[in-house]
Amino acid sequence: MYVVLGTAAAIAVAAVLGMFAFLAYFALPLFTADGFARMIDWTWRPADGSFGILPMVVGSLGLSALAMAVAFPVAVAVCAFAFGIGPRQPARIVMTIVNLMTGIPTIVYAFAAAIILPPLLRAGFEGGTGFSLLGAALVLAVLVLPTIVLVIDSNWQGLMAATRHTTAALGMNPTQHVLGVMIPASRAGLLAAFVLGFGRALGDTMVALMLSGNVPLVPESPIDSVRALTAHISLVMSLEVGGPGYQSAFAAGFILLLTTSAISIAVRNMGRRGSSGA
Amino acid sequence: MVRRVAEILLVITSWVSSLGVVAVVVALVAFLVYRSASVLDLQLFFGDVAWPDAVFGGARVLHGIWPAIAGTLILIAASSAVAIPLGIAAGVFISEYASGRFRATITFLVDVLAGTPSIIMGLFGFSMILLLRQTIAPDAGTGLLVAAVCLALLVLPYMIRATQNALEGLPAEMRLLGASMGMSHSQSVLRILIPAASRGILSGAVLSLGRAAEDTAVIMLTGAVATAGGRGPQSLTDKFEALPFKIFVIAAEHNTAEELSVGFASALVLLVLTASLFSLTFILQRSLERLWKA
Amino acid sequence: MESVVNVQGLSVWFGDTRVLEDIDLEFRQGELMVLIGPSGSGKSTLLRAVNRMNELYDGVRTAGEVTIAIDGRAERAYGSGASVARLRRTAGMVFQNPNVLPTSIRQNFSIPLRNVHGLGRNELEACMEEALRDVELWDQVKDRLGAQAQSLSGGQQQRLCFARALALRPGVLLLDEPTASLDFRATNRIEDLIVRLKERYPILAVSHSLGQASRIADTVCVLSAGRIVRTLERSALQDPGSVYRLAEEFF
Repeated sequence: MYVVLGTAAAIAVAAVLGMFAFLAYFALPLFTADGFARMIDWTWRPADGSFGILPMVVGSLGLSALAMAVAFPVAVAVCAFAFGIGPRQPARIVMTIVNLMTGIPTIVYAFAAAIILPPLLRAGFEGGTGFSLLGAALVLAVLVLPTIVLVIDSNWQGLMAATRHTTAALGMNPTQHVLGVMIPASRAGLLAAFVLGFGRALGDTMVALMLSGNVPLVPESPIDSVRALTAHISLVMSLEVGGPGYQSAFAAGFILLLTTSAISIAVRNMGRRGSSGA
Repeated sequence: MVRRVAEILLVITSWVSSLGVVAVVVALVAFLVYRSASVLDLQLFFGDVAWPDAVFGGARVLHGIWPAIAGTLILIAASSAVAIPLGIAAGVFISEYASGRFRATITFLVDVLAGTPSIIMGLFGFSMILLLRQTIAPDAGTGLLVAAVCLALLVLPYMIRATQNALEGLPAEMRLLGASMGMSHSQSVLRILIPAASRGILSGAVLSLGRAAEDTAVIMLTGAVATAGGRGPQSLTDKFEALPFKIFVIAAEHNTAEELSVGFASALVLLVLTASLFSLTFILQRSLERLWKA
Repeated sequence: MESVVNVQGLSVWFGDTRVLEDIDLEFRQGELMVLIGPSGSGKSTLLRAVNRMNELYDGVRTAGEVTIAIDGRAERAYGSGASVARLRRTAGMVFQNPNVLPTSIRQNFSIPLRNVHGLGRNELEACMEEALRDVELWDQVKDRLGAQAQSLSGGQQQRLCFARALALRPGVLLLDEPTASLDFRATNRIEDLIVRLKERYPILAVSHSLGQASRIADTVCVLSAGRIVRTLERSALQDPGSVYRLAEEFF
């Protein structure tokens, strides 16, 4: 039994490591001074021989940051509603709907938004194609919202049970309870939720691909088009094979992998510190 | 005074946010239904072909979304055939047989995999084919098998985690039960623990199905095409259609209003599929909790 | 005028189960009243009915009335227009297990005091010091008010909970088996504290131990299956024989 299961686990581990190894292998040519320097550049114009992917790094970070700036406060507010500020029945309905949101495919959000949003943005803001940092970030915010809410929710369940009777007996109403106890006492959990949401936003491909305009330039305003690292990989893979343009996809993938792995490590450490510190 | 203001602000934002979120979801679904209403009939799926011929007889459907549905179904079946057994086995191993440093390392790798963007899996599949072409199999190409393997990688962490959580959530006494009856560790795991955790494991399997059904980024790079001969993939090396990819293509290349409506209808079909799967997961999880918390 | 709490015709249902039946009792400042009875007899429910804490549970129904008279002004806890939050501030409650908030000692005071009374920094510190001195904790914690409340010992945490309740200037004290989780030494200190406090507030305390009741109570109410079956004065409890008979009969 041990042997059978151990083999399965070994296969799973081998698959993971193999995946990283493959990507490393293909990214290897970049690790020459020449290759690296080429990618760490601000200009992406393959026709002229420029293969800098830094605009895409900025694009990804900008999209995720803006998405989180919207999604995180909304998520905390929704949790506040569900944990006392809202009446019992509506609170339950809201949480059920948020749970259902996890079942909505990314492509469905991206598709619907790609039809509705660009005309609205074109009309609302002078100039611009309607495919922008802003539009993509708003849709991304909707996409990652359930993740953040559910992480905070599981964190708050225990805290609620441990503190609500105390604060009720002290004469604090639900709003005061959330504001005075729940939010301050769950700082670690809130941080973990934020980081997880950020990672999820970084890893999205379809929303960025279909809504951000895919222009490989650093944005100067929220209505400028941007290109994310994920979208960049997809675009490059479908166009050319071989050559430095193609390799930039692996550079992008490498950066993404490093970042999301770092996020996974960070969240793990937060969890560990939280449980031992309590 | 500041307290009062903060409290009022919190109450307002929490109501507005909650109502807003509900409104967005309801509006989205309503919008999908509204825009696909004009094409929601049997013809949407099968064009001019009789549906039994298409589903059972392998008849080609050139003007319907059935091939994409078939492709998605075959895809999730293929990826699950790999990911589910592997994931359960690995999950059982981590929870019941591994310990200390070893266990921490594997769990860490699973966490890292879980947080990896799906496009990376697609990139991996593509680069694997490339390597094969350059070395031992110059005719290698993307297709069902590659896509299924990459999708399996994508959903593997979910399956492992669900199994692990289900087992670790069992009451402590249950682990003593087998030993007290003279069972070996393996017998206890096989005959007591796994059956007890079965609902949670099942919920993880359903979650994997749902996740595999909805992904676009992986299949985009590993064999999904806009049209593949009017029926589902017939062999492991065939290219295939899939619902999420079809939606993407329609978004990028639609010419008529009707094509766009087909896009909305496809989105609706996919939504119904994944929402059902996720709801099933949720129900299974809840019933598992109720079983063991009572 | 001394403060009095009057319970009249109180019945409480959880769903279809009637947990308390037609309870009449009265406790006043200067006379410590202790509730005892086997588990499930409704003691805690009765206690929680005074500050309407039962309403935190689903499916609770309450009939009857609780009237709290402080300095001559009487208010009905279940009257229409009664403010539950204000009622709960008037009634200071201490639970069986010390329930300090998962934050610093100081914040255990500042969160409820600022939230509820809107006190400024200085008044807050004064209030906190006074309450901590009352429970004889001040000297032990004055140099580490920023430390986690959970780092205190069980007995200290429970005294902190007392102090926190006192800092809110309650009119009534409700104690739910306050020494059940404490060791012998800590129990003694808390019992002394309660006896000291009874002169200032009407106190209703639930006790798990007949021994404790006989040590500190002025009046003992015995509850069984949701009803008051016996009320005893202090004198009756001093005779070991009758205490023994009581124990036999009800426990």
